Amino acid sequence: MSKWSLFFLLVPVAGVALFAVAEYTGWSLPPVQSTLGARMDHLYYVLLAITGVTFIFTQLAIAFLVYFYSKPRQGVQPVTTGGGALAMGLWFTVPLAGFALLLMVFPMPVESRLWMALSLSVGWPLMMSLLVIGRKARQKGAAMYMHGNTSLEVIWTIIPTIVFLGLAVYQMPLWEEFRYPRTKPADVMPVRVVGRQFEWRMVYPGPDGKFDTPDDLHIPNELHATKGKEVWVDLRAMDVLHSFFLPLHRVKQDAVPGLTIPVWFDSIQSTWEYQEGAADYAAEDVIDVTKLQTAVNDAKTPALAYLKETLKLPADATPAAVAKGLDDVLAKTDFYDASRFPDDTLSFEMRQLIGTKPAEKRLRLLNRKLLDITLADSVRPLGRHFDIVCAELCGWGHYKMKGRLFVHDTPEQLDEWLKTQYSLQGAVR
Amino acid sequence: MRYRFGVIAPLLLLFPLGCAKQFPADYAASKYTRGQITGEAGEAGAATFTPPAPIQAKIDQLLHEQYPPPWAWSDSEIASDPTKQSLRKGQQLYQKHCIHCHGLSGAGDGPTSASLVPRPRDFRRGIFKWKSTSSRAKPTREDLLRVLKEGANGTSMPPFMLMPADQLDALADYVVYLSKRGELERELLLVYSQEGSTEEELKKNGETLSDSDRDELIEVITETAEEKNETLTEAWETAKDFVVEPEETDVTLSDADAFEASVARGKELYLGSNSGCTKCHGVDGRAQTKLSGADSLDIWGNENAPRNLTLGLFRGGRRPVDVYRRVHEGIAGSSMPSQGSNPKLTKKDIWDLVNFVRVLPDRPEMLQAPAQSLGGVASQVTPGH
Ligand code: HEC
Ligand code: HEC
Ligand SMILES: [Cu+2]
Repeated sequence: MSKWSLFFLLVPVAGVALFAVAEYTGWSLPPVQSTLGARMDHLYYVLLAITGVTFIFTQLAIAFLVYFYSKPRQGVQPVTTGGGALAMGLWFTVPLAGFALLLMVFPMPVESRLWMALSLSVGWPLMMSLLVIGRKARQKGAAMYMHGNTSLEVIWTIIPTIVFLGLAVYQMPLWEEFRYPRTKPADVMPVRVVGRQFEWRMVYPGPDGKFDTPDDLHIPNELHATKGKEVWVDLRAMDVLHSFFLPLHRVKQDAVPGLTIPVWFDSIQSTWEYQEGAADYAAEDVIDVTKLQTAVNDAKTPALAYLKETLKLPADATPAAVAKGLDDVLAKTDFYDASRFPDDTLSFEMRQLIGTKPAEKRLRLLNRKLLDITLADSVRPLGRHFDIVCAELCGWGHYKMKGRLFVHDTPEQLDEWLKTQYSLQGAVR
Repeated sequence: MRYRFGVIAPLLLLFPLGCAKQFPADYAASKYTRGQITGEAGEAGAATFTPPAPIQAKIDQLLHEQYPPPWAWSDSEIASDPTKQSLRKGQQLYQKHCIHCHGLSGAGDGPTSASLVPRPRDFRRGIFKWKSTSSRAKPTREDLLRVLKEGANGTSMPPFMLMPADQLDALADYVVYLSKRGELERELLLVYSQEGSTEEELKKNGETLSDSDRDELIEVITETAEEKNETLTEAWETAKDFVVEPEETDVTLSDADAFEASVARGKELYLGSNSGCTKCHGVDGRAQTKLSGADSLDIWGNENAPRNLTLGLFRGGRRPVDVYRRVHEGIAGSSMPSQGSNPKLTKKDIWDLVNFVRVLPDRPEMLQAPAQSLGGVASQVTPGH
């Protein structure tokens, strides 16, 4: 049995390892984008530290028990004290060292590391010592049959109760702030979000500032906000239960027909800031080299003609080489040019981006977006957005219920967008 | 244990096989009854109108020549042909996003469609409801793109707002392709139905299709196909010329007092007999009386209830100009009539009606209301109407 105990130890080890690598492989939480969200993440990490350490302790303790207490096989001596000392020493140090290492590489917030380190350095030797004392006691006499132990039961009831109560009290301010916000800033723009099979309908009050008038602005699937400013949503549903979910902002709230539920959040970054960091092309972004080469060589548009001049790709270029070449274009200041991209061919967002007279990072982003348009079908467009999804399986077309939060840099930009929408929505011709 | 593995392993192997569904060689032939083709009231449960094999084969062949299925094109075939590339792209996107509602050949018969009210649009009629053009004209490209982007509010047609412009373009192209194909097919069947009988009908009457008749019919059908294709292409290309543009001077939106006066006039017009709105939408605007006969159905034969106007669900768009076009032109394919051709109403009257209809959802008390009056977009609990 003793060898099997090691095998079973592998399962929790794999579990812990999974959490450790998750931070690098993108399986963990996506980067947080709201101030409350950051605090929720903190709660998550505290919980992860507590449950993680408890989990590790119990699993190791179980493995320890199975390893040292297993019945000796026929003709094999039970573990002697001498061999036992070495084994026991390893049991003390190896897991500890392993976890210390984990703590160092695991990119958790500092407070979670402290929590983990503290509970490990105190708890681990303590528990092992108890187990060793128990083992010594056992070696002296026969096994003991025990039917329940009241003090033990009291202990393992009281300790989790204290931990849970502590957590409950600890998270209360955050809960209160999210659920029962006291101060609604005077200048927030109200917006109504209505879930319907299968869309999120964002309703703004329109120029008159009042809801339920004919000038209300209805935008399907696109919510707009300003960086650093709070958004106060009146969440509603028209048909069935939906769930308004903004993964990056850590907002999730059921939308219930007949109820208006207030939800608020803010955004640390604007959409463009969020995208800037990922503007460069990777080899995977180049999905069809042949198509790209043909388009560039045919040079049917001024933008493609420019690329033909500048890119100069060899005929057998690999996706990586193409990505590299495109990245060089991203760094160029002269890719955007009104003759290559006339205003009326560009979306409102693009025109706004151009209007911000981009700094270097912003310029890369602008160039990336222009390249995405120019080379549609052969490169993957920059896919970084603040998604809005429905987290409730609400019907056949549920997966179509996807929206986007667009966060502007400044209130002026948001106003500009709103004005454009007002004039579009008020169209009489 | 081993025996169990022996059973499970082959089953597991079946999984990937079962998922790799093959595309058919071509679009499926439409199943119309004779009544559906000719537009005359046919008896319920009538048999599918299928011409005798040689005629059907000719129709299939003509359709295949004009509108081959893009999935059957080889990669090398489309490499040098931008039109084909775009259609292939449109077809692939359609397959991903639309087919489960609108069906393989755009007949509105995808697997999801059975549970939907209203039914997904059947493109084969070439009739579209939410457009800027006159009732009988095709929609413009912008109209199709608008429906794609915004969806049809109050129906299950979802908005594809976040889809990149090039993909929307490809989809619009493909919708037109399917629509043209469907219309051509229907026209060919119509031509045949006027001249000939189905296989069963022939058998029942103890007749056969003589070789000379057959050749003559095939010739007629071939000619029709050519003509129809030209008219179809022209109709789609010239849609822009039929856009309904209201006169700017007839609008009273900017001045609040004038607007209120217009709304009040609109209410009178709505309730009056010149417009006839109440016949379908009711004096309370809630369209609670069921229409009967042809008025209750749309041209596809589906239940088509008049809208409850207090809900604020404008499927064709809620901009003033959208509602103007709805009232001015009526709604193609439905019983909702055109007021532009109503001699008793001026253009200004139509704007008054539009202004009234647009504020009604927020002031349902304007019309004699039953007990409760719930305003606003979120209190709407019956998406079906
Ligand atoms: C969940 C089902 C569903 C999906 C998915 C769907 N549609 Fe629709 N579609 C509908 C329904 C229902 C209507 C009818 C709306 C009405 O009658 O007002 C419709 C109507 C339309 C119309 C006609 C508008 C008019 O003016 O008459 C077009 C065009 C259309 N859809 C295109 C598409 C395309 C293209 C896609 C895929 C990108 C798509 N639809 C996906 C359900 C769907
Ligand atoms: C013969 C019956 C009939 C009459 C008369 C009629 N309607 Fe309708 N109306 C309908 C039907 C049916 C629909 C729903 C069509 C659909 O969705 O396919 C409709 C829909 C509408 C809509 C919704 C359009 C949208 O975008 O969703 C408006 C607005 C409307 N009618 C206004 C009016 C006004 C104003 C009048 C009088 C001038 C009027 N109707 C007269 C049958 C009628
Ligand atoms: Cu939903």
